[in-house]
Order: sequence, then C-alpha cells, then structure tokens
Amino acid sequence: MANPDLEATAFVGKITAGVTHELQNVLAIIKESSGLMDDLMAFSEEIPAKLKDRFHQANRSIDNQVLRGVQLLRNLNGLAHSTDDSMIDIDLFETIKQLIELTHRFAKTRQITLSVEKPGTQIQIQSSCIQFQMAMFHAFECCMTALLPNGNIVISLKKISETVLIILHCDGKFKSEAKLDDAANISNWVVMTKMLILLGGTAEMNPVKDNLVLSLSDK
Amino acid sequence: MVKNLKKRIFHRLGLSQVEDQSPNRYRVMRRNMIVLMYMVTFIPLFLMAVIYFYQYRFSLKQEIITPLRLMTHKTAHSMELYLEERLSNIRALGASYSYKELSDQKTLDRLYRIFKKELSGLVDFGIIDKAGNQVAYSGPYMLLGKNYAKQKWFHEVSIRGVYISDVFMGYRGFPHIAIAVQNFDSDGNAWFLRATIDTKKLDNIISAMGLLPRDDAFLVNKKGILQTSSKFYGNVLETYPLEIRYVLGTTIREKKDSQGQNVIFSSASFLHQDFFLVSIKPTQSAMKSWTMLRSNMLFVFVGGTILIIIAIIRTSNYLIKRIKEADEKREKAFRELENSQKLSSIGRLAAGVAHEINNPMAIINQKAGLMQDLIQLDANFTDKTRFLALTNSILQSVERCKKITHRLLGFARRMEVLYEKLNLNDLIIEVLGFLEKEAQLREVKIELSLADSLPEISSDIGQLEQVFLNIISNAFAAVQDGGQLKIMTWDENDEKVGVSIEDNGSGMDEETLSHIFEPFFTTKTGYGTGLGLPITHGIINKLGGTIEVKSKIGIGTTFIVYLRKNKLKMEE
Amino acid sequence: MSEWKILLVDDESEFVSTLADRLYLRGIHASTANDGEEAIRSVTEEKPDLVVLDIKMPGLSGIEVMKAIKKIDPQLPIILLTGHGSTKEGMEGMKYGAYDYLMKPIDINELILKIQEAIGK
Repeated sequence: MANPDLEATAFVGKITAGVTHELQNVLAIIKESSGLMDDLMAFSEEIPAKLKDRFHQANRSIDNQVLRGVQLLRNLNGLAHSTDDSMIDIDLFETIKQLIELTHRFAKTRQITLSVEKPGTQIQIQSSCIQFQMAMFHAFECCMTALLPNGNIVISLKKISETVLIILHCDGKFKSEAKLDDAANISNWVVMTKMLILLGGTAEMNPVKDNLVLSLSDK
Repeated sequence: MVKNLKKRIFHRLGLSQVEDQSPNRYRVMRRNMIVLMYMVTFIPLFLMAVIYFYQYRFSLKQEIITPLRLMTHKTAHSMELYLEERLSNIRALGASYSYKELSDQKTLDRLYRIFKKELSGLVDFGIIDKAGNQVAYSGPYMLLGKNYAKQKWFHEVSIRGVYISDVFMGYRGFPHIAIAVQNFDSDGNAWFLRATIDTKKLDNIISAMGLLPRDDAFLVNKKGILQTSSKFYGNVLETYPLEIRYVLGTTIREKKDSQGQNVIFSSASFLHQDFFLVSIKPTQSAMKSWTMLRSNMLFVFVGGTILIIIAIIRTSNYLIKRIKEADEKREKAFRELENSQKLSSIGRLAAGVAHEINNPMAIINQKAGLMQDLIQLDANFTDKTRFLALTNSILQSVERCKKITHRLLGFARRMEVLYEKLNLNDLIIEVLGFLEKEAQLREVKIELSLADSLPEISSDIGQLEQVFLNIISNAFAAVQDGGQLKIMTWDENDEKVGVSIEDNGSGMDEETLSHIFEPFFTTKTGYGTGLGLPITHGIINKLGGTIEVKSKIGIGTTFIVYLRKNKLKMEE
Repeated sequence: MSEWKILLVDDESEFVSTLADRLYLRGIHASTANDGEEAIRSVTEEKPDLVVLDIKMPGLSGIEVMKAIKKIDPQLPIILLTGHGSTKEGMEGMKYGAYDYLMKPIDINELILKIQEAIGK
C-alpha cells in the first residue's frame, strides 16, 4: 500500500503533540492548585463554613472543567500521534467514536448530530491511521454539508467476508430539497475518494437510501 | 463512442486512467506495448515477405524457364533448318544433274570439291544405282562399289524418296548423318544421291546456345540414343541414362537427373524427324539468382526483425520509464497537494479542539477569579497570600493556555493572500514558539538579533509563518543537537526589510545549492517531497520579495529573505 | 507514612511545588527537582523512598533519568508521569523498571495509593 510522504503532516502532528503536552501540563497545574486550595480549606478552622462551601464548589467546578479539557486533549493527542504511524491495526468503532468527539464542534455549529453504532463484534482494519481519519473526516463533512440543520448522521459498521463497510446514513432534510448526491459538497467528495483510493477502498452514494457507503478491505 | 473505444483499447493495454498503484502495472504496460508494437510492425513485414517470396519465386522461375524453353525451341529449330537446308542442297544437286553425269566419277569429284567448299560439314558424296551399288563416290573413305541394298536406309529412301539418318558412327570414329535423295533417270530407273555430313555444325549450334558450365544440351533420338555428345550424360551414340518421355512440341519441367540432381529439363521435338533437342540446366544454378535473392531477403527479414525488436524494446522501455516518472511526479504533486489539504484538515481539527479548550478554560478562569475576589474581600484569612498565590497560579495557567491555543490556531490558518500590517519580529518569535519544545529538547541555541525599530510591513501573516517555519525547521534539521541558529532582522531600505537565518549545520556544496529551489529535489533519503523550499520560494515571489542562500560545507547555511514593506502595486 | 520521603521530578515547577504542598498536608514529605541532573543529585544526597518522575523533560529525558537512578539505587521504586494519550510510553517505562505510571493531570488520591503500594512492599 502506498505510504505517502507525510513529512509536512507529521510535522504538524509533532507541533500538535507538543501543544497538547504543554496543555496537559497546564491542566495539571490548575488541578493541583485547585486541589491545594481545597486541602487548605479543609484544614483551616477559621474560615466560615459558608465560605468553605463556595470555595469547594468553585474548585469542584474547576475539577470538572479540567476533566473536560483532559478528554479533549486525549482526542487531539491521539490525532497528533497518529500522524507518525504507518500501518497499524485500527479499531473502527473506537477510532470513529474518537473522531466524532474531536469534530464535535463542527457538527455542533451545523446543528447536526453524529453518532456511531457499536458493531456486534470488533471490526478492525490494517491501515494508516491518519489517512483513515482524514478520509472519515471528509466523509463526515460530505454528509454534513448536504444536510440542513437538525439532521442526524448515524454511522454503522458491517463486515462481509474480507470487506468492511462504513455506512453513513443521513437522516433529515437535504439542502435545496435535493438528494444526498446532489446536495453534497463536491470538493469533500473528491478529497475523500482520493484518500480512499490510497487506502485501497471505494465510496458510493446511495441517494435512495440516503447513504454514503465506504468500503475497505481488512487486508 | 470513440471515447469509449479509446478507453477500452487503453484499458486492454493496461494504460488505464485508473490510479492503479501496483508496480506490476508498468511491467504489464511494457509487455503489452511491446507485443502490440511488434505485432503491428511484424505482421505486415511478414506478410510482405511471404507474398514477395512466392511472387519472386514464381516470377524468377518464369524468367529463367521461359527463356530456357525458348532457347531450346529455337535451337531445335535451327538444327532442323540446318538439316533441311542440307537436304534441299542435295535435292537440288540431284535434280540438276542426270544420273549419267553424276555417276561419272570425274564429274562427281569435281562437284564434290566445289560443294565441299560451299557446304560445311560435307563428308562425302555417293551415287547409288537402283540395285544399291555405290557406282560413284567422292570422299575420304573407300566406299566405291559398296552395296547398300540390304540397308534399312536404302529401303527407306526407296519408299520415301528422301532420307535423313540418325547419327551413326562413321569410319574413323566420327559421327555422321547421311542424307539420301531418290531420283529417277530418263528410263524411269531410280538412282540415289547420298551425302554424308558430320555433326560438327550441330555441335556448333549447341555451343552457340551459350550454355553455362553446368548446363547440358544434346540431341537425342526417339530411342534415347545421343546424337550429339552430352557433357554429363554420355558420348554420342550412347544411350541417355534415363527414361525420357517424348512429347511433341517444346516442354520444360523440373526433374531429377541420373545423378539425382534437380534439373530443369527442356525438350523440343523436330517437326520432320524423330529427334529431340534436350537441354538440361541444374535447378540450383538456374535458380541461382533466386537463391541469392532469397537468402538476401531472409537476411534482411531476420535482420530487420531483430532490429525492430531491439528498437521496440528500447523505445518501450524509454516510454514506460517516462510514463512512470511522470506518474510518480504527478503522484508526488498530488500528495503534496493532499498534504496541504490534510494540513488544513488537521489544522482545522486542531483549531477546533483549541477553540473547544477555551470553553473549560473560560469557566476555570471565572471560578478562579471568583475565589480571588472572595479572598480579597475577606480580611480574616491567615493564609491569604498563599491562597492568592494559588488562584493566581490558576489564572496564569489559563492565560498560558490561551497563548498556546492562539499559536496553534495561527499555525493552522490556511489562507488566501491576506495583506495585513504585521511586525516581522513578532511573527518570527511566534514561529519560534512552535519549535520551542524541540529547541529545548535538542538544546539548540537560538540567537536573536531583531532590529528594534523594524517598521511594520504589509504582508500575509499565514504565508510568512509558513515560509519561516519551513526555513527554520530546515535549519533545525541541518544542525546537530546543541547546534546554533542566528536570526537577524533589519531595515534594508525604503522598500524592503531583510531577514537572515543562519545555522551552523552541515552546509551544502555548490551542486546541491544550485538545485534546492527545484521542485522534487531533496537530499533527505526516504522521505521529503522536495517541495518545501520551492513552495517557500513561490510564496516569497508572490509577495514580491527575494530569497538567497549561502552555504559552506561543514560551516553552515544562511538564508536571506527580503520582503517588501508594501504590497506590490501590480498583481501577477 | 510521615517517615516517607518522596522526590518529585518535573520541569513544570509550579506543578511540583503545588503537588509537594498537597502531599505535605497529607503527611508525606516531598522534595522537588526541576530537571534530570537535579533529580540524580537529589537521589544521591537525600536518598528518598520513592521518586515520581515526569517522562518528558528537556535535557535528560525521563527514561534516561530513570536509568541513572536505577544505577544508583536499583531498589528505589519509580512512578512515571506520562502526558500522552497513548500508553505506549508508560509501557516502555515499565520495561526499564518503573513501578507504575500515571497520566497527567493526576488524581492525588490515586498517586498516594500507588505510593503506599510501592513503599509498603
């Protein structure tokens, strides 16, 4: 399988990894500082209980936000590190789930929900993680650009002998009252198919079922 | 439909438009190309060769056979004419003189002397009476008084009136032909004039055929007895060793001779006699010109085929190599394009996450701020300072986070050329920020010599960031751990500012230096599109600036970039 | 527990100092170091009972520091702090003899539990 030159992308990945590392450190500092304040509160006898309570709440809140940040960074870090991976085993469900979380904002601004159904048995493919994620990202965009707000995209995974199918079912109204294939953004489609070809896969639109189907071999 | 047809043909050839990445594709293409080209050139050549082969063989055969046949025919005719002439000479003589006169020896002698001069080949004259007695004779032999009554020819000439004999062995071993003519005297008694001629003339006529050393021609009678000497098949009066089928007219065919050789056998019959002129030519020599032509043709054909094969293989190899190179270049360009798209995709994702992080950060900021306020308001805190320090710590961390994400967002921006007023020093520091971690880890020292009052320039922030990121990260790649970079900025003149990035890395030789801005040129083995610097060069050009490189092996490299302070007035 | 001496090693000074304060409030003595060299010196001089070590630091990397510490005191338990989403580096650390690893930002209670496990042995 072609392993395209990823120098530039790997570099970006490196940069991103550096950034996430730093951000993790920052979150750690915030967490410890907040924690220490809580500790000191607990030990202090002179601070009135009411005040202690408010502080405690504030720190609790900070803790939650830190957790939120940690989760975000975990996803971004995964993405950053996947740029230097070559062929690895990719768990489709987990990877797609992670990607959905990462791109949550993109879906949110369009008021579209993305979800992935867990398959009965684990489905894996052997591929380049970054390329796969890129292809999936563009597949998301392809569908999202076609749908009007309040739409849903439900992703299901199927394995038929040596072929893996990723079905993006678009539920909702399409732009200009068109069908999926007319409403979808051409440039996303083009980039996605190109990436898929490099992965040895294909894409097909089924305007009748409102599906975008990606098929890959599990190699 | 034509388009479809073309597509199908190309697809058959493996020259499909599909992005088939397998290395086999080129082998298949090459094989198909070679086979197709070979068939297209070889088949007509072959057909032509075959057609010409048979055509020429046929024509040449005709060219050889027809003259041969004609020759045989004409020669036979000449011979017959000769004999006819002699016959009429004798007839005339017999008719011109009476028996009485001719039987007079003296007269006969005299006439013999005269005729001998006039008629070549005349051997003797003889006058024979009705009883068969030779009553007068002029000639070299002692034949006077000989009686021929019992001889066949006598019988024949008595009936027919004329007689030409087959060749017979005369006295002294020379072949002769006898010509006899019947006459009648005034009493009505028959008498005969007989002349003998030698066969020299016949031999001469045969010689005049212009036979080649391996050819043979001879006269033969119905019984197969040679009337003239054959070169190869026997002497005169011997029997021709093979069966000959005697047909009227002139024929020509291929046969095997007595020695098993293939010969062209031509025979011509005489009209009035049972003689046949036979001419024999070995097929090989007859067809010599054909054989030569054939071997020449074969040589040309085989040689041509070999040359064609070589040419086709060479051409195909060259073409396929070029196609492969072009494909690879195209692929590389695509990938670079894709990479920049991927870059923007990752960039967008990273930017998305960065934005998302701001949300929790904002909340933390709020909470910490709240705590700070509460502490400050309440004077009862004993650990006031400590708590304030902690809330400060949190607030500063949030600020730090903001800065980090801002950098990432800036980095991720992929833009159209957007002219903004920017401070070059700030931009360079921002770019260095990305490489801070790497600089720390590898202990690369960065010395900055940024002009204090560097004027703001109008340019595209994002693209300049890309340019300097490219140059600086190249410098990082060039130096060892613990290496050094020196970055300077200055106000060059009214129009331009200058930036130089100097490293103490491995440096480049002149050869490499001359190629570094070429697309796809790279000295990094295994990876590297070789497009980083060309793109940088392109961007600088687009912005109306210039870029120079100086380098020395073992000492280091310096990139100098001049940027316009103000946008170029003219586009393009 | 109050006899325990812990060494905290991380290049983020605010982080380690705050963490040290929190551990102190919980009765654990913690000293800090901000880089690998300082850490090695500290191990040699102060002989802590356990080291908490950040894996990614400028200068000497966490792994290198760990190897150096192991040379000085092979029995000294080391808990690694990793900042990465993947557990690859943690696993690698275990190969070189780390007792365990935690991901940043850490949960202080989890840390204390691990310290108890490690020193208790």
